[in-house]
Amino acid sequence: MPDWQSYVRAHLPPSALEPARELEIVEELAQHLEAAYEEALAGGATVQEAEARARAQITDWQLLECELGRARRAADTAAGVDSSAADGPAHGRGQRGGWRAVTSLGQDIRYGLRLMLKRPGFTAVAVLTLALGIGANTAIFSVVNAVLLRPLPYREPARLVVLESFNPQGGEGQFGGVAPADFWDWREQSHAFAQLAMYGGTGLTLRSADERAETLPAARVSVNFFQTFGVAPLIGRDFLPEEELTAAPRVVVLSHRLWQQRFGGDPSVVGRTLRTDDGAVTVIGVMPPSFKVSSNASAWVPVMRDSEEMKVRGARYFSVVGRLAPGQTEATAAAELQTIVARLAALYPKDEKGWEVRVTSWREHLVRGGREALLILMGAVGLVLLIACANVANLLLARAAARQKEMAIRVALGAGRGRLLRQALVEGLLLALAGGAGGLLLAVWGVAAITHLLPTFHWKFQALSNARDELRVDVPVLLFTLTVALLTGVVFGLVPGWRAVRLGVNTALKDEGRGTESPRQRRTRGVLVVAEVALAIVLLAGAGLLLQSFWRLRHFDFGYEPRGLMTMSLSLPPKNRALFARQVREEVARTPGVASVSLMSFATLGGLNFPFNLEGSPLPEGDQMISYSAVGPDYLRTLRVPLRAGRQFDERDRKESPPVALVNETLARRYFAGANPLGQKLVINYLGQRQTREIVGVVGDAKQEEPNEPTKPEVLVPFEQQPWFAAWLLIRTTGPDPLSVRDDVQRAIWSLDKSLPASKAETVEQMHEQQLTEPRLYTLLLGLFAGVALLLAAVGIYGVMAYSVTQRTREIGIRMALGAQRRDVLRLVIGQGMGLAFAGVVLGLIAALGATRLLTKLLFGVRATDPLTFLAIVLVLVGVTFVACYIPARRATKIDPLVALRYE
Amino acid sequence: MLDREVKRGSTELLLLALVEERPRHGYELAKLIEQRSDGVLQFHVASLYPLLYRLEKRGLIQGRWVEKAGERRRRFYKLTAAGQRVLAEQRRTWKDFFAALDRVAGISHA
Repeated sequence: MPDWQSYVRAHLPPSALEPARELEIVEELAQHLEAAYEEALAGGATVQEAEARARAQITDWQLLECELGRARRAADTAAGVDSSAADGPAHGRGQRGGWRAVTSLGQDIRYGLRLMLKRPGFTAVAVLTLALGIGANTAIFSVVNAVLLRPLPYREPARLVVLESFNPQGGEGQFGGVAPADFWDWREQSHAFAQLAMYGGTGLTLRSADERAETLPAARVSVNFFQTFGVAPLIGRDFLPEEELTAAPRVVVLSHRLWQQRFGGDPSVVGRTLRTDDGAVTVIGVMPPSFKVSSNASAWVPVMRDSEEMKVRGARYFSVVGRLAPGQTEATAAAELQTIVARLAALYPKDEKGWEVRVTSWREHLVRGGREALLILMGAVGLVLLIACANVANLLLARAAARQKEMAIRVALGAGRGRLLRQALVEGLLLALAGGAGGLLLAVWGVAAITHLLPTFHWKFQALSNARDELRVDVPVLLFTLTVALLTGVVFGLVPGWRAVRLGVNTALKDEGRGTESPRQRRTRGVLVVAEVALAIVLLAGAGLLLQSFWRLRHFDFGYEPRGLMTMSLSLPPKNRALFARQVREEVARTPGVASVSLMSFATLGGLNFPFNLEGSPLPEGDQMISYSAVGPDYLRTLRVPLRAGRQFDERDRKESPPVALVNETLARRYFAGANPLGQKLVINYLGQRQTREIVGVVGDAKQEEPNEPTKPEVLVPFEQQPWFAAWLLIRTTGPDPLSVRDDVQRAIWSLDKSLPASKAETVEQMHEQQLTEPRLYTLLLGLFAGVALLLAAVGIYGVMAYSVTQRTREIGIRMALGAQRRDVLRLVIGQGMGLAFAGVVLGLIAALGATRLLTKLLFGVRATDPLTFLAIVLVLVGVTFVACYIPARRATKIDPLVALRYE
Repeated sequence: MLDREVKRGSTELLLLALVEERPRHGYELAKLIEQRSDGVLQFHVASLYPLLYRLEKRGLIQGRWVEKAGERRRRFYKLTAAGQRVLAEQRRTWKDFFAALDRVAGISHA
């Protein structure tokens, strides 16, 4: 026998009864059906017939529910206070009202869930759409949270500031470095800072017992560095003030990562002595894992305050961080520094004139351009969510048309409008919460995917690379998701709810007798689709522009041939560097697969900046900064940089031969304006040392900077005349994959000195790829969101058109019966859809023209209003819309006029 | 076909009258009304139970679950003292109503 109780429970809409009484009524009704069923069986009916007869006892469940609600209200009104008093003295009327609200809310929720399960297709589409929107928002918010919002792991991080030197006239020197002597002067003369510390990169070469060496990235810091951040070592101790002096024993503080990887997390490492190429150093402490300032540093060593280097003024290559004293702000600190800098400029005009100091908060410094990009992405996912909401609202409206009869009857039978509105809201919220749960799932995957996209350490996007380890879905992210889900639920729950409430009963009953959509409703859905298309256009425009920039960046002409080119780091012994470098070059050149080899003091993307001047006819403004690299012979051939005039370096250019230099075209153009630079002499302030060099050649610009930075004037000097402490081998291979010769080259190097650390090898293409990390991240994400937006907009248009075709079946049938051709029907339907799309495109273009301006800083080689991009995205959107309209249009042409006329 | 208002008013009378004889459950009430009126009066389940509920709320009838051995428990409704008074009043009203109808329109009723 069927379980009549569950049958009743599944069909009875939530009523306004007390739960206990409702249970009783369910039981009574079930017994009624059961009795009817048994009677039918007894009368000789089959099981199926008996069941059908029992079911026929109650056909209108809505009516039943309404009658029950009316009965209760009527009874309450009639009985007044007496009745409730009769129910028991313990129940006050207010209490009962509250209880009723709670139970009826429970009923709304149960009814909403039942509705969701009853229409699995509808529910799945709605939940998936919302999950996409909410998931994208959650994923991006988790990045925003990790990069911009989560508190930094330092004491009072808001008081931390970064001090940078810059030269507003120079154009160069925007790097923000600070000269050592400037730092000590600032620290001595300022009062705005509780602490002022410096740090700069270095290498720490550790020797193991078997003489193998490993060079680790490390940082040289002033001894108050950790105090400035307010972070104490995890184990061991901080630096002592006297450890800043050359006479003091050498000490080192290890990073948590190095401690784990190399020393297995052994606490007894503190006090141990390590052998380095600069002598023995004692480990005094290990920092906690959260300490990530200059996050690639594996260890920190003190700078030597009394060394010659600390008196250098002209070369700016240290970073400076300060902790503001109580009562000081960035502005007051900047004002005080301004007076100090002016005083220094008067004292040392040659090195200090024209230089100023910038004070920025630590957080701002970490984030740099990232903040804008992240906020743009946040805006983009917001648009995706809006489109998703519009889509779900559209679905709900279509369904509301079908449920209009239910609503109308409930209103007619006295259901309160507030109650209906609440029911609609509850349904919207349930969908949104389900979407939110799905979105959270998508976000967890999304966050994992984004983590892979984030750059590994790079000084330019420290905040993003720090976030790489910290990206997670945590409490703020969960709260954000919940808030977004609830908001979306309210937004699209209210649209159909408001309509239902506003609807006149008569109109609804008359209208809905046939199950058609009112013109007003059709208009609402049309407006939603137009909005979706417009929003999609905005996103597509942004993605299109980023994609164009990305393409241009990837195909940027650096002035040399990056394909087939590899760099390998080369440590040089302290003595006879030039000789050793020459031997390595010769040995590597003999390696099979190597087409040509050279070396330079810094690989591309590096180089030092030194002040320079012209001998004989000094520059009117004084010294200018140039980029300075020491390079080996065959440099031009290996990089494939063209020689424009003069000669290149060769084996003649040794230590004892006259000092020579090559200059790039930018330098020649800027400082020699038409005159012949060959044979001219330039003067370089090389770390306080005056160098005079004769220009022997002019070479093409081989861009060391990133594509969007201006090319600097560059001076190349022979490596043998200026052997740097380390070098990069530049190797061009005969085969397409330069890394294939890496092991052979390493063996060639070790054949000369097997105590050297292993070389780091990287193709130049890989280096360029790394520069593209950030644009790639933004392009990929915005492209993805634009794709989702396009898909959702297409689904929205398809939904509206498919529904409209169903609604107009009769009309189309009549048209066809009257002689309309297939072509006419296609035009009718597609015309309607494309009309909506067109309106959306126009509005979207207007909005996009405004919105893409925000992208300007992220673009390269393309303007924010690039007409070609806009044309392309309009074509894409029109194409997709056309397909979305064509499918229902084709269905419309298949309508059989005879069937259609009988349709209703 | 009886007018809706008349029908609604009369159903109360019918139910009260039926439970006056002895306590009855819902299915029995539906069956009795159908049988005794030769099918002229038919109760939809959708109206019967809400009406019973309303009468009970107003204190005219009282429902009670009764269990019999070997059967499911059923809810039996019996007339209360208040119900007795209302039933008497309704009977008189209807009697007056039909008498008036009879005098005016010449309807004779059983």
